[in-house]
Amino acid sequence: MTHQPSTTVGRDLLSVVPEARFSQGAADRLIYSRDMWPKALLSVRDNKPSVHPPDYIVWPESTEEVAALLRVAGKHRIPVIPYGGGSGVCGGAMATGGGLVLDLKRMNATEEIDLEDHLATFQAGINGQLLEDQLNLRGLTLGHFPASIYISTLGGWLAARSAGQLSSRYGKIEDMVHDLEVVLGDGRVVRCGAAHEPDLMPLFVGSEGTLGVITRATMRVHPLPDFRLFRAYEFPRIAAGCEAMRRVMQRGLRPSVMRLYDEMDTLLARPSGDAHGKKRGGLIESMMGLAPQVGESLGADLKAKLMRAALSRAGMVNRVVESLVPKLSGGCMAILGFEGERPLVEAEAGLCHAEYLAAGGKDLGEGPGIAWYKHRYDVSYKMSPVYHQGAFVDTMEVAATWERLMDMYREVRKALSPLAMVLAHFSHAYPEGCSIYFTFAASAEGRVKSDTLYDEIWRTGLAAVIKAGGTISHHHGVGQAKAAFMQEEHGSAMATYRQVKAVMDPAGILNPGKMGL
Amino acid sequence: MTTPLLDHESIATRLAEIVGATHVSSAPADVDAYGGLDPVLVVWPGAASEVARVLKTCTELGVAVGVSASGTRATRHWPVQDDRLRIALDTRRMLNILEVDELSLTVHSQCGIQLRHLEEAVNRHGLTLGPFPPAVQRHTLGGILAAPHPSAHSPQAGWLTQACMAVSVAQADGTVIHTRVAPRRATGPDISRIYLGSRGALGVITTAVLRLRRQAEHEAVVSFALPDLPAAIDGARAALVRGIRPARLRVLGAEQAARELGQTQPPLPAVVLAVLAGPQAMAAVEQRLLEDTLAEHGATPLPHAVGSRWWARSAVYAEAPEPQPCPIAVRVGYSRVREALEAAPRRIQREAVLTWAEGFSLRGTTLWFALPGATEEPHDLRAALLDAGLDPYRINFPPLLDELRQQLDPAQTLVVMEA
Repeated sequence: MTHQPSTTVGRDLLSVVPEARFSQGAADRLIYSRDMWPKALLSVRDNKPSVHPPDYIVWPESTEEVAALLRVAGKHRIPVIPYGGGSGVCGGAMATGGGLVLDLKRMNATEEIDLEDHLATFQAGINGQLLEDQLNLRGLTLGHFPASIYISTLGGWLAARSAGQLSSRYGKIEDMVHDLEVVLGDGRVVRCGAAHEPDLMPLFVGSEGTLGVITRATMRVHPLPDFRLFRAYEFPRIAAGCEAMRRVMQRGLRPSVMRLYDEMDTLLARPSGDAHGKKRGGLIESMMGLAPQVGESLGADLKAKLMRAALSRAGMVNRVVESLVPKLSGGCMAILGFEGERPLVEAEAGLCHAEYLAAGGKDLGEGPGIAWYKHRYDVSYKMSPVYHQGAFVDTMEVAATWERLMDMYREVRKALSPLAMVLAHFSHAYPEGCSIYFTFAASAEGRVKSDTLYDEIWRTGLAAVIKAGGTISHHHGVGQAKAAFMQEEHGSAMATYRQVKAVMDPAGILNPGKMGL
Repeated sequence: MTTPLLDHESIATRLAEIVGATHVSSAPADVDAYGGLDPVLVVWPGAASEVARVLKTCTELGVAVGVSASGTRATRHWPVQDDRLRIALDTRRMLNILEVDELSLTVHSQCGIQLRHLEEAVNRHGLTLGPFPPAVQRHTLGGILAAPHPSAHSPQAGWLTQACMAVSVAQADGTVIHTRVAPRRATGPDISRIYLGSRGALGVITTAVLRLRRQAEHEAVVSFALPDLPAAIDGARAALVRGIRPARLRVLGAEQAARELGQTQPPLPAVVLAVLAGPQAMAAVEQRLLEDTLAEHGATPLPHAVGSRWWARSAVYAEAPEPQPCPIAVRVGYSRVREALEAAPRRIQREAVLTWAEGFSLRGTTLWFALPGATEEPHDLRAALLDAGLDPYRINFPPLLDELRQQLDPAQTLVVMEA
């Protein structure tokens, strides 16, 4: 679906919002032409920052305005791209053929906080950290702490089925939402949620703007914890750490944080293992096994050349690193966190401690956990320098049941190792399975080869995930990045998704080119 | 909409080709069991593929299909507003448990199985569907997923439907869709959820994968008398706010307490019953916190035997010896509990209303009201709750779902089950 801008469309849009909240300006179109999809960073590096810019950007302030804008878009059959913080990493908020960007960030009101029923209602454009701050002032928390929290919005979390770092206690965003207001493609406003039976809310959560624009949400909130505790362990092998996580979750215990780093990722995490804020290494030093001070002493040019050279021979480097890493890292680090009322936390931590020791874990004390908590949002900001130095890095967050999890880990590593340096950590654990967060870094000469390699890595990695019986996304969503795998992910249910789309968005204007629709 | 010129026998013949002649019947003794549906015949498929072929055939023939879940309330249906012939599709042959994954704690089962039989089967692996009230167990798996029951909730395990990880569904056009299993995912809408709670309007759930739990390592059953029902519910709420997650948490008003626990002198104005389950160390801490919390709400611990007798009866499924009062459930936030509790007796103005609460979460609870001896739904109670702006738990078929139905089943072959 490609749109040609026209003055009639602009006039109709301006009948809904004032000029100050409408733009066709080149700078705005450039800014809104991408989200944080790493592939788009390859374009930026190639001085082509805006491949398919939107034609119009509008900043609505109310549900009524969103509805009216969608009616205008429907009348002119303009693609509509709902936009929150633009922090998505799958290209879900990027225009694919011009169209209208609806930036919802002006819809940022905290409408009601119900202390008795533990419910809080917000407009969907509210920033994540501001939302949490509002709740904290009332002694509450949402319990949702994605790494993007400073730059993402509630609507974005819901649209992409986000997960936060404390998900093993509080769940994913779909577990936290009570009620939604959504504007459908034809401008109808619907409410759905726990109070409505049957509940159509799970259709909109995760639909990435393809079925409706989320404008308001009532969230389930929790008392702020009065006590927090961390512990860290080291396992000789990743499988032993996984076994410890499984046992803990299946005993019905609810740590707030459960993370397990493979040997390579332990090297990355270990510089942060200083609870006192000691300087931490960057992604580059970590991936190359260099101490921060060594990395610094190399100088920028040499470091970049070294990194590109290493990453362009990923297969060989992986073999070398795999043989050295166990000696360098000493094993696989695991972090546990707990929060809540002190007696419950202490009892829970004691039981988990026993399980981790029984599975072969060595107690590392609280330091690494405290350090992780202090720097828990840092990793997202380490990626740009890698691009700046001529390589690229991305993450692939997938999940499987425990029965399939280790096979998936091995198969994905095996598939990606010839193409990229790969490291992984296990987080977001549940009684029935767990997510694996693969980080891969690679380098190729020039834009075309970089794009080709980038696509090949994704294709190869996701094919391995599907083959191993996993899901292609745990919490980043699909967007454009994983769209080609939606048929394999959902099989026959994809036809149902299309039928649902025909009802919710009869003109097919909502976020076209995404989700494999 | 009218049925093409077809007689019962030719429909039966077509369906017998799919499921076998012994699994189709038009005998009055068989068809009369399906209540308001008034079918001309009943068909008992044994597999998803057979369900799909039956649906496809019926869609082609213009025959309406009501899905039955073997004698539970789901056999009731919305009145069919046309003169089409109707058949009953009964899933009671679909009893196979396809896989129990002891590592990932999941079970994949056909949907005709009664939950109590599924529970017994997974118990043999040291697993359980969850600490749900025994009344839930008389339902079939397909029935409870298609028409969720308001008591299928535990503070510790959440709603039973939340345990559903994947489904296979036969649709009216004869296609079968399978959703894939994952602990959690972010790959678009959760398609399986449109079938849960949709009363069979969009398809027939043929198999499901459910999350299981390990059977509790330890259970502590406690009971407390409280000054009145609102105080008891306040106390239960306060316990949850502190982070306690009982496997079962049930609050009884005076009349219901006498009914469930026996008469006492003096009568108990309100009772909190709780089962704290899990590792012993956790259960012990939770018990202590619960006792402290309820004491702040005026609770007095009751003798251990009170709770343990209740739990001994409550933990095991058993058919009730006599017809039970038919309750109305209403889900309310804590901010509206007092209003709901006052609404019913004010309107009824007659003998005591049996009242209890279960299904506690941080946000609210499910209140249950019944009139002693009334085995049919007390309509004046429902009216009283509606007058108070409280919506008793029943299907609220939203227009959007109806549009989905038009899309997925344009011939409206599937008849919607009544809540």
